Amino acid sequence: MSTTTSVSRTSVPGLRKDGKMLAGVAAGLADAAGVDPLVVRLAFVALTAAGGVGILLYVLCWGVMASLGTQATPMSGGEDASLRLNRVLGIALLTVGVALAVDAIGLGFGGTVAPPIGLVALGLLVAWHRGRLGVLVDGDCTRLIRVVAGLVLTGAGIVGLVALNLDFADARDTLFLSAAVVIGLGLVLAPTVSGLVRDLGDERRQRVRSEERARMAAHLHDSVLQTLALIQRSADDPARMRALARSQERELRNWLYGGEGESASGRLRVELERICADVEHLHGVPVELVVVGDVETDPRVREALAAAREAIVNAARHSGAPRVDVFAEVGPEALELYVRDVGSGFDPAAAPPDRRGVRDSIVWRMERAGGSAAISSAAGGGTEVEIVLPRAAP
Amino acid sequence: MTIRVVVVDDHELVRAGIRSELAGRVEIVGEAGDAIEAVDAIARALPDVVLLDVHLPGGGGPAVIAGCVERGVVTRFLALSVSDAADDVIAVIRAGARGYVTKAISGDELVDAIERVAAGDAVFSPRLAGFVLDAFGADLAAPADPELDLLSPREREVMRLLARGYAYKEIARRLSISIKTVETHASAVLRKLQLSSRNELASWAARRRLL
Repeated sequence: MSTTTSVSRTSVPGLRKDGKMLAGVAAGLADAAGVDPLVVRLAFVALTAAGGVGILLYVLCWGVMASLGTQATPMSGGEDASLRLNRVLGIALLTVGVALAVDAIGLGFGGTVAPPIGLVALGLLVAWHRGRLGVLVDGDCTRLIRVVAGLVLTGAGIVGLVALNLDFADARDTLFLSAAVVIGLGLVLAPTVSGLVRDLGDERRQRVRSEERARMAAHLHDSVLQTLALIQRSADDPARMRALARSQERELRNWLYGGEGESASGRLRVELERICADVEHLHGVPVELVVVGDVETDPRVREALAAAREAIVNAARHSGAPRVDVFAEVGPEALELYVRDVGSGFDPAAAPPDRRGVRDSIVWRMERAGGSAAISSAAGGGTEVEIVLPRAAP
Repeated sequence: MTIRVVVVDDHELVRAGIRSELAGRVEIVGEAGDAIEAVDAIARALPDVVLLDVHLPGGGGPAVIAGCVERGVVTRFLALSVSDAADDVIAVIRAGARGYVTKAISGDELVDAIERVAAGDAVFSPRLAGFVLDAFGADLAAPADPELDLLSPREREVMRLLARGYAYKEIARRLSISIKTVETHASAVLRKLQLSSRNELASWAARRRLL
């Protein structure tokens, strides 16, 4: 026959898809042995005629060869699934073959084991073949039916095995029965449960990853992209561009490798640096910060810092000045904060309501904290906010 | 007569930025990217003012100043840096720079600072003024030699206004003194900063691990 020569020989026999008559066992064996498949088939027929050993042998060979994989099947997308099917099929057939052999040699528990074992194998085959519990989640009915059918078949097999071989009166046999049922259930559901666990894990990892990506995208959008946009708009102003790039670098570095600022927080200098960097970043106006001395923050100091922040934001937003100067000095008697710009300034008496509101919040805040705030400004003459907080509460 | 300037900075982009800022207002007669190059360029061009980056390959700003002194080149240095570290800034001032400004400075302010240094005055950016106030702490014990080493109340006042971002002429107006007097105070503070070996500065420096 031409099939022996058309496909290259391998040392391991496998099922032959081409030139097969039943399952391709004979063709595969013949191919591996280098003889005509007809010879192998005749041998099987002869052995079957002589006491049925041929059938047993055929089933065993089928099992082994199926679990080894199909030969002469080109690698393709479907290969993976069909290979898996072959494995499962092979193992099931092997199990049945062994059971048949046990019966034939008479090693059973006095009864017969082949038919019930065959049922169990068939049930597992049905249940395992792409019958993972994923089905329960995606609501695919045919797969669900497959799992249930596998469960029923396996259960029937176990019951048969027990009924044919065990004596229920014996307590040890009852234990056997329980064990058999548990193992059978476990076997049927194993791929389902493991698949479910894997699916859940995958899904969780996926979710964590996409959340992380969203968080990063949001942050980069708020910071880097905004800054790049600002830089493009200030291409003719190198000083501003540098300041923007500088503050963005500082901020990004802190975000990436950060924590330093977090851990050191609680000191006036660190808090002020953060506030200034924030405002620089938000409004694209360089904030020049000078701090003399340092002190632990407490609720009162934090009030002063909040007031200073208002003043800095105000200067950055409204003054039109190219730079905001912030000076903080921790003296023996008082903490003094100065926020100054050389921008448009305003007449405090004729301030628009929104700026009056901010001003009031600065002044009111400081008075509540036991300090004071003064705003000196003149139209066209810049603005300075002076915040004073006595060291000891009055 | 325009002021002749050499720009020393290891970043080409920064030099280009400075060049374009200063174009037409001062004459740039040389550039250098590291300390050794810088001393050569300065010795060759003999500028009125050197704009000097604090951090440089080959020794940094102080090494350039020392190299020029060694070669007998007389010029004036204005330190220009993004550095936030007090150590670096004070080191270059003590080496002999007449002032320190940050790179965030505007073009006009930079020209103003160069002119001031060329005229022999001191230039304090708010940050340098802050360092000075920090160094000559606010609550010091009575000094042994107040003439030299402690800031006078007036000098302290000038420094505080500088730290708050005021320009010299604004300080003069606020304190009702002449600009010349403000300059005198600033120069006196600079001299104290450069010459002082007193306890306050020494202990401050030790705290910050410099000198």
